[in-house]
Amino acid sequence: MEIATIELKFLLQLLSFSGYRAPLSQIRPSAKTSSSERNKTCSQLCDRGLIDCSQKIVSFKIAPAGKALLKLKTELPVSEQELKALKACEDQKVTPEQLKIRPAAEKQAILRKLTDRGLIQAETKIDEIWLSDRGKAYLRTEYSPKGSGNISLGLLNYYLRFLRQPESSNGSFPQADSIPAKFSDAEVLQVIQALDRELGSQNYLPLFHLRQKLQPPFSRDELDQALYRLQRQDQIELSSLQDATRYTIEQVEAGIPQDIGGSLFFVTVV
Amino acid sequence: MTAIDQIIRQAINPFDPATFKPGNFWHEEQDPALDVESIHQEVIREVEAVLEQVARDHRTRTVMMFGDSGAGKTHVLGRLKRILNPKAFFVYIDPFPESEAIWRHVLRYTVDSLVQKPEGEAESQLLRWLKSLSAFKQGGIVSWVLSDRQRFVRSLKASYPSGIYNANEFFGVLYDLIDPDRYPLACEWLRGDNLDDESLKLLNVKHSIETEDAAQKVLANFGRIAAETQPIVLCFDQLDNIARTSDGAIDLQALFNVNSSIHNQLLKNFLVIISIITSTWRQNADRVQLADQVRIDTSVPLKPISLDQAEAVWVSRLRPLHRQADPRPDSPTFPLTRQVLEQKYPGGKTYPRNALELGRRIIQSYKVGPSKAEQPEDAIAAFKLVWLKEFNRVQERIIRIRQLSAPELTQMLKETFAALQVGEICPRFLPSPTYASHSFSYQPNNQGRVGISWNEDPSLTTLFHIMSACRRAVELNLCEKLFLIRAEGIGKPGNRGYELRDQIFAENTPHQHLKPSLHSVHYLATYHSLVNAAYAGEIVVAGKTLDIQALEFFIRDSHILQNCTLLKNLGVLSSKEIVEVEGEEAIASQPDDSEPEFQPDNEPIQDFLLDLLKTHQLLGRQVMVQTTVGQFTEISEDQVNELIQQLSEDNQLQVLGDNPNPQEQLVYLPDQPA
Repeated sequence: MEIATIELKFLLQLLSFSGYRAPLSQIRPSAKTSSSERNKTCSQLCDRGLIDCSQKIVSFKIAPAGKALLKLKTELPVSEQELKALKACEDQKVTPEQLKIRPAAEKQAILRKLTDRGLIQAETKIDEIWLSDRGKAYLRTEYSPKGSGNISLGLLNYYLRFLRQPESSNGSFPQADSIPAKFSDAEVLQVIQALDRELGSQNYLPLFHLRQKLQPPFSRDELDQALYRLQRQDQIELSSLQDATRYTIEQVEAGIPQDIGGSLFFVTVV
Repeated sequence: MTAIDQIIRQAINPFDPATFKPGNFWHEEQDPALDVESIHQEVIREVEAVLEQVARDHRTRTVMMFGDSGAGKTHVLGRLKRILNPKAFFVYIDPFPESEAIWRHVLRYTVDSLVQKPEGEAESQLLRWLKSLSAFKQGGIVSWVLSDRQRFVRSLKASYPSGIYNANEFFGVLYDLIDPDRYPLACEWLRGDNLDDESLKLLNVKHSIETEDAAQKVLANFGRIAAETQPIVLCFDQLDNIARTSDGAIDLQALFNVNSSIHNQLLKNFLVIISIITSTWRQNADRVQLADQVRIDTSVPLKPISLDQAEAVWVSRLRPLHRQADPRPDSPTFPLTRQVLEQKYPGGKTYPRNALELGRRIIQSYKVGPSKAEQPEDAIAAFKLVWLKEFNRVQERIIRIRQLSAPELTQMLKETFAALQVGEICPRFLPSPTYASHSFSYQPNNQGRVGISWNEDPSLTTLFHIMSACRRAVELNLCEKLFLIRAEGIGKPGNRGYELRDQIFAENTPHQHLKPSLHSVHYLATYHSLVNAAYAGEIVVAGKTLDIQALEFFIRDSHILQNCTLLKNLGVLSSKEIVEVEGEEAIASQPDDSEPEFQPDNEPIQDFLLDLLKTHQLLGRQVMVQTTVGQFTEISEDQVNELIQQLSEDNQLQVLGDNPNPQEQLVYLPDQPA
């Protein structure tokens, strides 16, 4: 089986995610790829069985069977929730967000059941994708590159990491310690101290400086996690900002947001 | 007995947000049962150690206590007061509105705190202090009470032969403190009120404490005498809303000048505690001279708490509910779990207020079910509850307008003007160096500038000076319309100030003299207190910490200020805000101490019931009734029940449960139509 360069890039990028699973929106084979191109590539890979995907219903309207059902005078053979969904779309196309069903997490399941029974017509969108077993086997044993292609070393790195995983682990959930370390926590600590000295921030370093220095190689989340580990070990303290007027919006947003209280903005080495 | 889930559903959320807003420890009751001792234990120990040093060698010291918003600074101050009050006199100093009057501000709050009674004591700190002086103990209390003023002053002067400023008057006024009739007037003089001639005569003093210098020296007198008894702890808190310098930064230098003077001028026996948000200090420290910074003897950080401590905070709040439950829940944090903490705080640390808020949210969703909890909370309703709670406190605390200084009243009014977006506001309006800070002006849209001056000093001399300044302002055409706000007397025909006032504010002029009611001032003071809390990051409404912009939005959107007659008379409420309120009028009416007679007006109570329900979504009927009775003391349980019935008939709320026993009934909000 031959695959195109863009498909290869797609797959290799998927390898960078934990469990080789990611929301479709986060896949971008190259900076130039448009989202329609990406979606097309995705369905091609799906068709070949190299990846699997989950779909979610983004809008729905009532089907004739559904209309008929609503006209029935006898006791209806649907649950109360399903009836609510049917009534909601009786006159117009609606989105799941407009549907008042609790718990919200059950909405998709209810709608799928109604679609399956032909009572509504639904429009779906790919939600999450993951590498199928077939895809894993293909990348591990079958694929042999030919011709020329412009693949970044970063993508090559993901491939090598994948290949170096013992097969028994089945490729899922690469262990944290098996990822070649970008910086150890101790090194992050050193970077904090060096930056603080350099900028004269008196051991009260705004996080945006650290992000500028360490992202990349770190992703935002990876750096947050490293900081949390250092906090847990009492190596650093994270502190919030009261008066944000002296900083730009971007700088303020570089803090670690908290859903309660102000975002963590400064780091202090203990 | 009842199962825990039923108890939780029926009870007020034990993490009720209104408890997150701390403030002046003399006016907020702390429940020691809710304290987790291990939290900030080292801070308490350190401050206690410094206090012991002061008690030993009488040398004044300064502690700076810093921590993030929500770390518990104000709460720790309250705890320190509770624990250490037997060893010291505690003074809470509100944010100062004017740097030029900071000493008078400190003196005013010092005396106001000293007249408070510590828990479990029959007498104020001030009387306790007075009676513990050895000069009084000689020969027993009876002898000095009966002896005349002269003897009393002589005896004290003999004990303190030097170092007391204006000793005759100061000791004389201390003597008046013992006389219950003169006690209030003596306190007024000590706190620096500008008294009228009659009162001064009664106290046998020539002048009020009018200048910064005099205020500083009277404060020194207190310190001097405190050497013999207990140290005085001055707590400066909520510094994010103090006076600002011309470039808009908070004027910390003014505070540090005071601190350094206390040290330099050998004011003895003070422990100064400066409580400040870490980032505020870090960002402003470079504006404070190094020579003043070194006056900080000890810096104590308020560190984040561990998740174990966060759990302990939860346990303390849930304990009263668990006690009622049968069977007892397995975990003392039920229905909260450690996992949630681990998940929310991967770094293993948080702040007490965050832990409380997390607890509140989880309990809330437990009460109403996760799906309903996803709906956005009714923030305006929650805000109105926070307001009402604060308003009640302010009503208890401020019993006369004159308790507040002119710069404070002016500042409070300015803050509401800013919130109401009346137009560009300029501080310091009157062309007088002394009284400029008792005034400001603003520029309404498409209209001429409006000047406002507020002063409640009883002294008629002060009134005359202010009237002269008002006249100059009018002559110089500084404004199109001038308001004088003053509830205090204006003297008699023939007094110079009286005559001037009559001319300037005559009926055929655009200018007006308004007499504010205490009720109006309560509105301003409540808002001011919330502004202080907002600057300190200490006010939480529906899960969000409000900054000043958010607070201004809420105050506009809730239309709470519409009942403030003073604002109405000043014409700054938009027409839809205005609701007719009786009882306060312009100068035509008599002195307006009289609040409107209380008519059990059901509307605020119904509002309260609905706000309570919007905030909690589901409540036991009994709890709802009791909470309401606690809030509105004039109303009986039966009346509340009747109101609930009415609201239920209007379909504004629903009562669940067929059982006629109200204890088993639940009240909840009807589902909004989709």
